[in-house]
Order: sequence, then structure tokens, then C-alpha cells
Amino acid sequence: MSSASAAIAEFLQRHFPARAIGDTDDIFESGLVTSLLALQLVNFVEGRFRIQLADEDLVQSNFRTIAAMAALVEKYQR
Amino acid sequence: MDERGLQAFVADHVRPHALAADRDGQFAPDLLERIGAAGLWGWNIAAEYGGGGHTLAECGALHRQVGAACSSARALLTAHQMTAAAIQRWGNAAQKARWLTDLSTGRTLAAFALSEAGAGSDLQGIEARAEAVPDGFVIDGEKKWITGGAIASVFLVFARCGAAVEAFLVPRAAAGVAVCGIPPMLGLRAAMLADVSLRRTKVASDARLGPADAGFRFVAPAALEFGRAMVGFGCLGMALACLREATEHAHTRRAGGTPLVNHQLVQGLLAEMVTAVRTSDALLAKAIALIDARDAEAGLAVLVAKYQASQAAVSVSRDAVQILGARGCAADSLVQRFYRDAKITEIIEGSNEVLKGLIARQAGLML
Repeated sequence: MSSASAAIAEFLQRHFPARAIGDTDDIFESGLVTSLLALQLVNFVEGRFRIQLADEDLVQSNFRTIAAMAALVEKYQR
Repeated sequence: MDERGLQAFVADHVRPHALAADRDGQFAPDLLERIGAAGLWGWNIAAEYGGGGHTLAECGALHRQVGAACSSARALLTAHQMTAAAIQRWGNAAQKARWLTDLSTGRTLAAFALSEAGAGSDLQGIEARAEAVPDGFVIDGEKKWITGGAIASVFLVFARCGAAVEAFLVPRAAAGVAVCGIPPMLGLRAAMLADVSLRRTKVASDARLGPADAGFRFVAPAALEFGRAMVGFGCLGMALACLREATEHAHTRRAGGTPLVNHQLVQGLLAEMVTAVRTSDALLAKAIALIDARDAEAGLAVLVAKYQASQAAVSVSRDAVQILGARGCAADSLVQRFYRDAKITEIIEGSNEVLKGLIARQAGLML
């Protein structure tokens, strides 16, 4: 697991301590994501990794799984 | 302007006009200009656009200070700054350049046009429609009870576009926009409410704020998070002002040969008021800290803080009226004005029933 994946997993674990969320589990499909959490995910990714996401990256598919979010972060860190 | 300067400005320019504004249901235009000259409209806007560039905590201080003097002025600032915050967060370079400088000075005032007859806090219930056309969007809809709508020059309008809800910056001058002022209501009587009608209103493609499908997902939640926190600080200001008035009265008014404050039943009221105020203060400070830290619990903390602070403002102002008795019921009494204003805060930026549902849902997920 990359450091980005670990940090994202830790964030989600804080939000859903009773749920085990795997790297490729779809958090939208599971019904876990409210409109508030969607915003918090964006805020977290931008704040934790000090990146500013471009408009075209603010799409659900980039936030669907821990792996997708980690890949997004890594794209900005390259 | 630092906190002391802000305090002096509010004392000199806002508080003296609050009673007349509540009575008349409007502000004198020169007061709105003075608010602009003092930099209050642009308090949360980045310095590069002429704003104050203040932190969230400093925005809270502004709303607490103004809220302690005049809730209507606080409401106008909140609506304006919610829209400015949305543009700062989700706007592209051209949108920021076009709007933020004028929003900073107050030359352009903004309003947040979300509510409809059948959709308040419930974004899913929005019926306003935006149709994508080759060079922009055509919007039809009826927005209701828009704070600052009567004086705003630009509206952040939420409308359904296909399956998504999008946010659009719509100038008041756009063809098809009609604004109808609403007579003063129970509280926040000078908040310049208006109904805003959009009939085949054409806006350019760059009027949409944020990427496609962002209105519901990002723009509205972020703006509402800011707005709820600031309404909470306004409630704290009202509660502090009411507590101050009630305490002074309890120490000077005598009953049964002794000041009111020596009566245990009055002490009970004051103790409840102090506890409510301190709880609001602590919850709001925590919420702001969590937002700044981009913590997972920030959203829940803001909901809890706004819910509690609005309830506290109602209970503290009610108890202040009780302690002041007939004086508290007088037309020129601050506490009766805040009692009416406080009631409105249990309804705006998400009614407390809606907030309780969101809190329960968020908390349930976190167990």
C-alpha cells in the first residue's frame, strides 16, 4: 500500500470506524458517501497532499475507491 | 482591520442603526457603503482581489461582532460571503477576476439563490431547470426568500441540468430575471429578502461555477458549511448581547428589596444562559479548527455547532426577555428583537429538523 493509500484509508477509517474498507471497495456504491462526505474527501485530498485538483479531476470516478484516490494523488505528485 | 477596530466600527456604524433597520425593514444605502468602505463585504476574499483575506476564525469573529449588534446586517454579510467563498473555492481564473474585486468592495452585492417553494435545504427537491444550449445555458425557475435578494447584483442560482444540480452566477441585469422584494418578516427584518424569478434567462457557458455536476456535490455543501458556521457565530453574538443585557438588568433592578440577581430563580435562568453561550463558543471554535485541519469530522462538527448555537440564541434571548420583563418586551428592546431574529436562525441554512437528520446520519455512520 502506498503512503497516499494509507493516509486515505486512515481518513476513511476515522469516518467509518466500524467498517472495513478495502483498497478497491466502491464507497459510493456502498452508500457510505453523503454529499457532506464527498466535499470532505476533496478537502482532505487537497489539504493532506497539498495539491489543487483541476476541475476535470473532480469527478466521482476519482473518489470511488481508495486506490482511485491514491492514483489521483500520485498523478499530481509526479 | 483588527478585532478592536471591528468592534469600534460595529459600535459606531452598525449598532446605532439596528433598531431603525428592524423597524423599517431596510438599511439606509449609506450604511451598506460604509460597510464596504470598512472592508466587511470582502472580509473572506483573498487580498489579491482586494479582500481582507481573513481566516475562518476571523470571519467567525466578524459574524459574532456584527451579530451582537444587528442580525439583519449579519445575514446580508453571510449571504454575500457564502457566494464569494463559493467563487473563491470553485471559480476559474476568469470568474474570480470578473467577480471577486467588485464583491470585495461591495460595489457588487451577492445573494445565494438556493431555496424554492418546495426545496429549501433539500437540494434534491430543486425544480429550477437549466438547459444546456450551444453557447451557454437557459435557466427557468422561481427562487424564494433569498437573503439580500432585493439589493444583490448577482445571484448564485442552483438549477437542475439533466440529472445534475449545477450552480450558476446570474447577473441581476440578465434578461428574464425579475426580483420581487418581500415585506419584512418575523425576524431579520432588514435582511432585504426577495423572490427571484428566472424566465428563459440566458447565461454564457462560463456562468457555471465548478466542473459539471459540481453544484450539488461540492459548491452547495461548501457554501452551506461556511454559511452554517457563520450563522452559528451570529447566534453566539446575539446570545452574548442578550446575556449582557440580562445580567446588567438583574444587578440593577430590585424586587422584594434586593437585586433580581439575588433571587435563585433568576440565578437559574442566568446559569442556563451562561452555559448555553459557553457551549456555543466551544462548539463553534472546534468546528472551525476541524475545517481548517480538513478533518473527517468537520462536516458533523459544523452541523452540531449551528444546531446548538441557534437553539442557544433562542433560549438565551427568550430568558433575557423574561428577566427584563416589560422592558424586554418594548419595541426598542434589543432582547425582543434578538428573540425574533434568533427564531429565524433555527430555520435558515438548513432547518434544525433537517440538521438533526444530517447529524444523526453522519453520527450513525461514524459509530
